[in-house]
Amino acid sequence: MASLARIRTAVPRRMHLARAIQTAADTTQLHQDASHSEPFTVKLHEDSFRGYRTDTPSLDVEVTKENLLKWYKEMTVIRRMEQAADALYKQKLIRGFCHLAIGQEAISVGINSATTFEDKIISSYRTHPFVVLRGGNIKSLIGELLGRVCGVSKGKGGSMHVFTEAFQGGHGIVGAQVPLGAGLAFAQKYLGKKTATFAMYGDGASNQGQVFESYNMAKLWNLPCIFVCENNKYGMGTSAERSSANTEYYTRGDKIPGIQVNGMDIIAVHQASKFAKEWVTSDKGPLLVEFVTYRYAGHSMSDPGTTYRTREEIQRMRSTQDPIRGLQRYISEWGLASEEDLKTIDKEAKAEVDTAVEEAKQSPFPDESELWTDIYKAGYEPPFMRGRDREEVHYY
Amino acid sequence: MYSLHHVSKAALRASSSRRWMQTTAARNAISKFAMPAMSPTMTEGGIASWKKKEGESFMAGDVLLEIETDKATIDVEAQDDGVLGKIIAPDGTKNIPVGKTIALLAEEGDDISNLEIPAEESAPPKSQETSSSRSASTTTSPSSQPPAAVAKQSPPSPPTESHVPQTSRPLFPSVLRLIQEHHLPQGEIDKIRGTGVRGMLTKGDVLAHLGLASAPTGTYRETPAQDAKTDKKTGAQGEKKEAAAPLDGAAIRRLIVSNMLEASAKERAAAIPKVEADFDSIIADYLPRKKSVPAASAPAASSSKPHSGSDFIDGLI
Repeated sequence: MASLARIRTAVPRRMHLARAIQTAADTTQLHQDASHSEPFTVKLHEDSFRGYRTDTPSLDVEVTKENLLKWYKEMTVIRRMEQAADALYKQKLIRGFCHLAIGQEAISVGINSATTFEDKIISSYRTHPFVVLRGGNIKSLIGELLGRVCGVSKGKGGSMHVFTEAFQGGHGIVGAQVPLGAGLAFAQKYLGKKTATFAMYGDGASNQGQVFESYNMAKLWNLPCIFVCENNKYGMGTSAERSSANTEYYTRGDKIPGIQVNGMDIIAVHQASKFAKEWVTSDKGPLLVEFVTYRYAGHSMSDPGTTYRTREEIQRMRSTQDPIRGLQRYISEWGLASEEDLKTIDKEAKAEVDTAVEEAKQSPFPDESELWTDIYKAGYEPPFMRGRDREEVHYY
Repeated sequence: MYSLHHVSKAALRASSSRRWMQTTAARNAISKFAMPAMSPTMTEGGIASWKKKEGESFMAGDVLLEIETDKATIDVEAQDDGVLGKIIAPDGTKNIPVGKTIALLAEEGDDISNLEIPAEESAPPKSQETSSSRSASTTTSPSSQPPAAVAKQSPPSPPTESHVPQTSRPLFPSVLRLIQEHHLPQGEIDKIRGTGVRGMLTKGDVLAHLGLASAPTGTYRETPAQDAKTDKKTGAQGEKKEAAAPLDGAAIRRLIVSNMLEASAKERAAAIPKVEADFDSIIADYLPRKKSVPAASAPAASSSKPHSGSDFIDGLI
């Protein structure tokens, strides 16, 4: 079976005659002179979007210098943090599961840039960036991975159980978060809020049955739910062509319109997220958004990532389509900041992550008594609770 | 300002051929490259080969070296761009514990001419100590839980008796009653050695301590082993094996293979058929059949061995 995988990668990916989406990170053109204080317009590459049952978002995007630099800082911090998690895992300080989002930073930063903390975002388990962007901080995320008390879930949840007030998790079962996301959208509609829900899943989870059930209910009841498919072309070790009969994930919604977006260009992601939020909050019903992206690391820390794809492919993606590198190019070419400024941002990001990691390491492990808390709401516990074996009984 | 802008742009364009777009920060610190654990169960590994030489630069994602674990040889990729400053553990080094520094990495443009090997850090043993202390604390606390539960569930002591003995092991009700009837103080209870399951106090232990019984098991004697000699031998071997260090993956496999070898020795020997054959009986298969030979020719042939021995030569000479 592994040999089949290698044969497949030799076959060119998109063989249809229709125009394919392009996934380079640095093809946006400057429309007018980049102003340092006012918003300026840039034009996305014409192949940044593809639409299904809808027009694609406009290619002209208004951006500001602060936003671009903010996104650059955020993406760099996220990349550093994921690399720090990788190193900590290899030192066996982080155990268990650890799914890194190296290469997919543009998606989390882009979606966050187009939403407020009132909007709901629910995702699977490649969600470390969201914790930091949506109200958490690096120390609490790394602390959670290390299993310390300072973590977002008090060290008891781990990598696949992270939540903040503005981020609804962090879920371990593949595809289980999609019906939850549809439910969140239902609640928003019920309460009359003009906010959106981003229910995110990967290309591997896109074939789960409950995803289609959610599509049906969202379309039937016109819910403000944006179904986001992060297509990084591999579901664990299975490439999308080997897992899905229809790899155009944005068309899977049947009656639900969809758009396919270049997930490596931060400006395209920002524009698509803005478009999606406007769509669902103006009562047009649900929308499907597929971000075409790539992960450099393996599926998780126990996967080297090279048994089902070639190293050349990974290196090619890294050198030509890296989102941070693309944004760096924009910032430099449009004269928004010098190379030294960007290097300073890099340095600051690295220092920030290093200090946070050190602080997190100093935090203690949860006390034994924490085994019995957070199972029931405090004050509503049953008289006793059984522990890990028959003799271990805790009386509340 | 405008001209500067242009100049910088030109400089950027000129330098675009060089790999200036880095996602890493320029810093002068040398970073230590520790032995990574390629799987959660890996404790040590060996270096198969370094793919980069000292002073060679690499990009994020390039393979730096190959690490040999007990399971496989795995490539280790670099996380960042950089330059390999100094290799501390060369090719072929074995049994490097996870976390030990095996190389020093530097940034592009850093001075790597005089890198010194840093003093050995005590990080790996520290982490092991903390993990062992953690495991020790977790094992003692569950054991303190059950006696608390049992103490609550055990029948209430007689109203006259206010003394509830504290033991680290659960107490049988019969033992509790005996202790209370004979008013054994805490100090004496701690001195009694438990012969029950997991060191629990049994009724016999308490009775023996009080002198009311001759031994914890009374007059019961275990039947002696059939062969006292072999028992002693296996007993000694068993103790030796327990005294040896806990086996790791490779040693377990060696043990399994050697055991299989021993166990299968008999079968392998049996597979080779032992044919009681001498020269004449083998030759008889190839010699032309004698006309007068009856159906049971084999025993007849073997009985007439000396004759057939010289017969076959007759035709030849």
